[in-house]
Amino acid sequence: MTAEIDIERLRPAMEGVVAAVLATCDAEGQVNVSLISQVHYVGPGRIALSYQFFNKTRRNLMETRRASITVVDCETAERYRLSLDYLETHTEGPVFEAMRARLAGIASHTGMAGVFRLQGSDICRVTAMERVPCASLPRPEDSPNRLAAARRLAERLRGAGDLGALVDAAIEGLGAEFGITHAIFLAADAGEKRLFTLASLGYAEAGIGSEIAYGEGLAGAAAQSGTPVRITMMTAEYRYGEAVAGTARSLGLDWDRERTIPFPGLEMPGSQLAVPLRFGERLCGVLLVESPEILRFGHEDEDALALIGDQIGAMMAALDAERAEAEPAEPAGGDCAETVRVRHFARDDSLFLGHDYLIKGVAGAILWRVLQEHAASGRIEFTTRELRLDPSLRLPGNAENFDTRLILLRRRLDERDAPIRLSRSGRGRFRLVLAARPVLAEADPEGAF
Amino acid sequence: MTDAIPPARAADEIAAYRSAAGASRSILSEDILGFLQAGQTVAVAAGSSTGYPVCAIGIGCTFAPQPAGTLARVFLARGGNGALLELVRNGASVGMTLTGVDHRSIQVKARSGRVVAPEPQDIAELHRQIAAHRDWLEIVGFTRAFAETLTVFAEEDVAGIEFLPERVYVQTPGPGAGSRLE
Repeated sequence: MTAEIDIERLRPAMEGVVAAVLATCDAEGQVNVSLISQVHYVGPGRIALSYQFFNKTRRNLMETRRASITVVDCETAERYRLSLDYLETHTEGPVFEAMRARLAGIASHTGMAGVFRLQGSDICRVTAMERVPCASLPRPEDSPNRLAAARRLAERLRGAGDLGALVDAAIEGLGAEFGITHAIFLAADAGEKRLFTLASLGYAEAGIGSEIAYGEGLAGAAAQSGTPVRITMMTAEYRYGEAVAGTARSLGLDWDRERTIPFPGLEMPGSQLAVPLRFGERLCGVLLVESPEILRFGHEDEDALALIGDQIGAMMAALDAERAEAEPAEPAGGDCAETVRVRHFARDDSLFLGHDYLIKGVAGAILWRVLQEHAASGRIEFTTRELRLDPSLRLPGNAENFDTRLILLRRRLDERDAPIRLSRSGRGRFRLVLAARPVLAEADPEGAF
Repeated sequence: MTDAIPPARAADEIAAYRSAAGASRSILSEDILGFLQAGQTVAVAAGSSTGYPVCAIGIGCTFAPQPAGTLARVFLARGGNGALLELVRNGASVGMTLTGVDHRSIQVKARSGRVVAPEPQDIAELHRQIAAHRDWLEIVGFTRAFAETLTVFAEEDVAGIEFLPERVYVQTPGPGAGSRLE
């Protein structure tokens, strides 16, 4: 058996930063040459090429089962030429999922999710490798030890006693231990297949409560695939995609814009990495980190944050399982001189404070229910259990993200500096804190008051 | 080691070559010629009916002036590309693909080519294209040092592959890749 060629050191040449040159031939020897952005490191002596369209390159590869590829190290500019033998095509499994997620992230950014779809991962064996003589740069000094940083962040997380503390510890720890300047902590709503922002780091607008669908953007791609997705360089395609998305948003309906909290994020990220927060097969959320620099996140960052993602996912699941027993509500109340008009639209449970949009969906329904109860009985103390069991809230069957919705609601109220707040008053309990007396208004089915 | 490389064809030789090949007009439009010489990423390859094709990153390309674009020359470093040039000398098919930072991409192919030495005007044109290419690389986020390292070439180490373009294709990624342009 022939020993496999060691291509481990070529991983920086497979980041998709500098496009690779791929050549194939048809049976008559007529050459075809193209630039490709995705060459996936599979393992010793193996790489994978993405199969999206049945073009000339793919036809040739199937016909002759041979190719030549030249890759460029994204740090040193060293060039390597590989001879390849096609082995097989994967349409499922970890290699396929990782490549599909990355492609989906790019496609989503460019608004071409339906066009850029991975059909297969063409696995190739490297039969020869040569370094092509050329000018090169010294390799940058080693980055800080990611394993040690991950351990310190894990220690920070361990001390979190509730979901809010966990989210804060994660966001703060990413900055302190990994030097990450921009991050978004998203919780998953498995029923709706959406992610919503619980906390963020480094943006002018925190964007708490903003939502994206599974499959949308890099975070959505990580949610859909359940695998980390890393982009090391914002290409021209991204710039184009952002422009298209911006145009589409500018053409959106006013009604939709009113009820949408802008998703935080860098206008022009250089690098992005999204890791799923999982517990077993259950997706609890996604952590998205980004940087204006290109090449900011490498393989080691991905590995370290993937471990942290699993820990956060396990803790989210554990905290969810520790729901407190119901405790008797305390009747209380107080008069406020000021008033605040709270408008409710039943069609999507959206709430407005005065003329300002606050929130919608489950979080909106929770606050509306609490305010209605307060108006009827004067209560300000509530338990999560009573709300979780309240049929009028129409919560999803498992209600597993009730707590994340409650935290989202609390943070959104804090972020807006609202005269209505919710504060934690004990395990499984929270308190309505009012700086103004709510005046409730329910819209009729046409949206009028 | 310096393989003997013949000089590029003189004008009268080009005319005779074109005539013999029946290439009375260029298949490359002015727009395509402008794109190909705008300072793009250059990919070059030579085919093989028995072994592996060989590919390389090139430096730039030039075209015989009259009639415009009938005769193409794509340039690459001799060092490290001996196998590719040898395939061309032995009659292999030739392909070159030029790609912009917006991923627009065009491939030009020929059934055979000839290895030639660059002319002084070729070298001057390569410097112009490389300067434009470096600027593009910086615009999309590469450092100046990386862009210069990636594109630097030694004039004495440049080889050209001269060929008559026979087919031109859209190579921009997507469902339309591979469509003929001429």
